[in-house]
Amino acid sequence: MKFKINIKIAVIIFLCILIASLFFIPKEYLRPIITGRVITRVSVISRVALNCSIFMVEGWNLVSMPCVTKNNSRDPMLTTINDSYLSIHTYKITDTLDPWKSYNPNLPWWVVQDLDKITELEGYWIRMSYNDTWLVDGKVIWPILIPMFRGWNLVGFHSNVTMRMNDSLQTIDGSYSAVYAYNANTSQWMIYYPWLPPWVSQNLTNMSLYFGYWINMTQDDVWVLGT
Amino acid sequence: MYGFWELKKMKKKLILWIVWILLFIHITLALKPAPASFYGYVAIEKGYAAKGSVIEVYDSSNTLCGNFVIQNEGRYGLLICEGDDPVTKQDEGAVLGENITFYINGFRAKALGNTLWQSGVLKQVDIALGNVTHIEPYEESPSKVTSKSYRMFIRIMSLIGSIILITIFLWLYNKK
Repeated sequence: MKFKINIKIAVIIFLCILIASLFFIPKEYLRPIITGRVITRVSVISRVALNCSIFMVEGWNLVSMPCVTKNNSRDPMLTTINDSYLSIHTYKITDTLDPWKSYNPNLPWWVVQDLDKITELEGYWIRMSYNDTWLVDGKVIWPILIPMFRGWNLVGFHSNVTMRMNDSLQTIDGSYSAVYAYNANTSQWMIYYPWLPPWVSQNLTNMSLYFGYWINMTQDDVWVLGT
Repeated sequence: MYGFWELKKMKKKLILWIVWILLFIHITLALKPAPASFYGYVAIEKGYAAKGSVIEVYDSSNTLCGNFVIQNEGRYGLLICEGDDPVTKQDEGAVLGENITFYINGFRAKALGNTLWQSGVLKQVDIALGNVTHIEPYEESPSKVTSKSYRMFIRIMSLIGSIILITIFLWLYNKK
């Protein structure tokens, strides 16, 4: 029996298989290569009025205040929790001699207290004597650029939507090695190490507004949030 | 005995020292420390620990500082071991340099790795019950086809298919 194959059909089948195999080529090989093209990036800064409201429980709370006000001095910012907070602390990695900045309203006048301002860039440890809500009426600025330095940084988070770890940390990808957060409601630490094997289950999967985050940087970088 | 001028000088010095000390008094930091975290392989005798096994960690004063229920056979983590909050009188967990003890399903386990507690540090510590000195890394069963290996298989098959078709095409073309 003579087996006849039409050349045209064979060519069509061959082309179909070639096209089909394209689907299995990793995406990174299919990215367009841009040579000599100037890319102009325009950042539109938006200021949105927001009533920031952070519920804090008795004990330690690791939070951030995204609302920006005209006067960001400590006392006016903390007015709504004036009676309920025991102490507030933040960590400025750039001050190598004295990175911890604290304020405790119950300490005598002669104790040096070096936390004067509440900014949207930083994360804060606040110790509460009872459950209370920290309210600040202000504006939230997007996008925000947070300079990060090698070592542990205590920073705030600025996105009105809860974001997956990879998405929210995209701009510092490769520059950080660990992220820690503390959920005061459950008294639980949440941890994320991007380099761990997938079988290690990590309980920090998303980043949310009002949380403060400890981020360990392996090199200096700038974290851009809310683009 | 000191003379009048000597005493006056000493008083002056003392006042200067007090002023100097007062100027530099800062709040003593007593913050909640970041926990230590652990991960690794878990062996029971010659096999791996089953899914659902419970790993518990205790500090040297026998305070439970963290636990983890195994979700992947033979492996645990992240297991978060809390540090002691210096503000409270209670012992909530470990302090720097404290030795951590591991338990598997309530039995004290042998830890293969550095078990000293350190705030904000991640450590790989393999743990075992029985006479085990080394745990081989757990490997997924080869019969299990992962999506990655399936993709690779399809790629190879499409390549082989293309080569066969080219050969047939050339063979037919030459035959003509």
